[in-house]
Amino acid sequence: MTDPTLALEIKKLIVEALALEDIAPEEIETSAPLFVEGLGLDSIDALELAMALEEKYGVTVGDDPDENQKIFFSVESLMGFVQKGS
Amino acid sequence: MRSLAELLTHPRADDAPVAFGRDGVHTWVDFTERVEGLSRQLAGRGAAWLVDCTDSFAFAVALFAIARAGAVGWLPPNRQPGTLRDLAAACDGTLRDDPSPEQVQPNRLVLDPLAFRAPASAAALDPRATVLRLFTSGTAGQAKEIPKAWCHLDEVAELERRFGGALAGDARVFSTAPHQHLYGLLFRVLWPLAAGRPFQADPLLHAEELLPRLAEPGASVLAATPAHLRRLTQRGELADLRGRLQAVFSSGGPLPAETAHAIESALGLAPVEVFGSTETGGVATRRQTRSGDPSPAWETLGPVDVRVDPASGCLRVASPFVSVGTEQPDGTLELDMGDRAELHADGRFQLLGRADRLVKIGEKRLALPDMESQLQIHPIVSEAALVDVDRGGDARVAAVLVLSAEGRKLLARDGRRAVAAALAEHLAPNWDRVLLPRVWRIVDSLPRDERGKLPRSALLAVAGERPRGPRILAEQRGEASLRRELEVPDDLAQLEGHFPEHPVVPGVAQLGWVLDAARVLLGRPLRPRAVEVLKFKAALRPGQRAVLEVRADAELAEASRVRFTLATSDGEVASGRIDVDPS
Repeated sequence: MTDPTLALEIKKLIVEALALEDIAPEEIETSAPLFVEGLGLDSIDALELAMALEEKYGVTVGDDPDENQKIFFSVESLMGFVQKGS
Repeated sequence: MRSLAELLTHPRADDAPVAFGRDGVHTWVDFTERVEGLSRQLAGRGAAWLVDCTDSFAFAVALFAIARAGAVGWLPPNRQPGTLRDLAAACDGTLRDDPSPEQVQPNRLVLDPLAFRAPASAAALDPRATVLRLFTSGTAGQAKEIPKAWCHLDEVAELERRFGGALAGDARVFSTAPHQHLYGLLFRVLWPLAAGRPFQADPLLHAEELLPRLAEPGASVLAATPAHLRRLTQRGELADLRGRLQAVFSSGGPLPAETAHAIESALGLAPVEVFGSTETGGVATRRQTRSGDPSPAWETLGPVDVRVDPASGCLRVASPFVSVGTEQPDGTLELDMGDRAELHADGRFQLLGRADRLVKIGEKRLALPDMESQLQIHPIVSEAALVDVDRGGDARVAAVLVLSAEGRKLLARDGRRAVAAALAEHLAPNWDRVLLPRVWRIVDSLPRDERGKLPRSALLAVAGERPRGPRILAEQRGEASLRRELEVPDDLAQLEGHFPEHPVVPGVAQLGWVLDAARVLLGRPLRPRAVEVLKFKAALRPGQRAVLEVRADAELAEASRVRFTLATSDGEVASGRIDVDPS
């Protein structure tokens, strides 16, 4: 869960997949919320991020809405998801 | 199928399923007793109720109870706090099923639509009385109210006539469309309710959450938005639903041909695209098929009449389902939809694009001029223009701004990101997050043409302009120095044409970065007189990181020479000295 290389990789993926401007991957806090507060991502971003994660790590989003909310909460939770799934 | 106004007068079996969710099935007796119970609570306590429900069964109960009580339900266009606050202020109370603590108006009457039950009694409703108000665009202040009576929503009978024959009587209806918008209201709630098909009650946010639900045994129908359908087709499982998923509807924006064809390949049936608006209801449908016309014409739904206004070239729609417009001799209303169209001799039509500046993003409608006026009232903005840009997938809004003196101060002090953040925060209370600008461009003047107009192409050119500077990863200030850690963006504008096979950052671009850093260091506009002892020692490539240091030769106010070095981990890239006028 504390692999800094993976954290940076996921941050880069977020910045690139969502074409975020004015933010460098390093500036994304690993444990801060990605959606609404924090980075302020939205529902289209959620779709695109899910696709990018699948493409890069071969992990697919499951069918439980509560679980998905937990997975997409932060870089940290995404790391757990990627590590478990790949 | 009967009118929706008569829904409660014709009893069904008590255990007939109405809706299903994660907590089980809601039956007809659940529905009618809850409608009765809630309507008794509402009677005499208000004429306007804000309906803020996340669950579609609670939503349906709320609608019919409000109608039973002779009141009007207001459907918020989004759940942004600003929108809900404004609408709640104009209503007598709120019907909310979500127990989350963020209360919009804590001192107002808030009722849970599922909290009451009473023995049901048959009651006919007035088909012509307004029962709902929908809202079409961003802010409550500027949004247009669209009233609806049951007769306007009886279009569901037309949908049943046209498409119901292919569906099993007990096919379950799934949807990702929000029920407070007309598409979701008709396809997710009212059509299933009127036809006796159970509908999915709980909201599903991810397309992935739909698949296992659709995979449960039994026939099903899916009414989704193009973005969700696109996502579904990228998963293999859709083909497993062949034979059971009996119809797929798409509305809320254009359905890409690729998605339509993928659905057809997987299911053996082409999706039905629905074209309509909040004001007019569904107007026409079409199917894009792999073997057919690549751009099939739209066919009107039942009693819908269309013509093209010779002056504007726009589609005018008249039907019993239109609830806002000009009255026709036969009593129906006609509305100009603002979509340019070409009418064929057989009554079908082709759409040629929007006439105004209304865009749809993530199925939400945005009037660009509304958001522009909101931006312009912010003290840091002098002029603002918006344009929708397609960045592969869903469109996004780009903002092109001319800053006021105050805005330029903020920009110089805190950078572009601070400007963007301040304005996004300013817009956030009134617009859904997906509609907020994602690209911010600051210019000295808007790209107006000789007639003073802002051509879309010019705005797009500005919005699409690639970064001209490096990404600044970190910045440290010393007493008379500034150190920036940089990353060269892959899409740096200056890489264009600079050795296509071996892109390197031109020296002149590097000098530009140095001047920028020197300007920030000295805190004043630079008047460079000369660049001395300039050396370029190694190439700098896209994706590489570098450290830029600029150091003044004296106290900042007196400084007339700034030395710089630019280096990567492999060694020095460039160094030199800039001579400037003292301040």
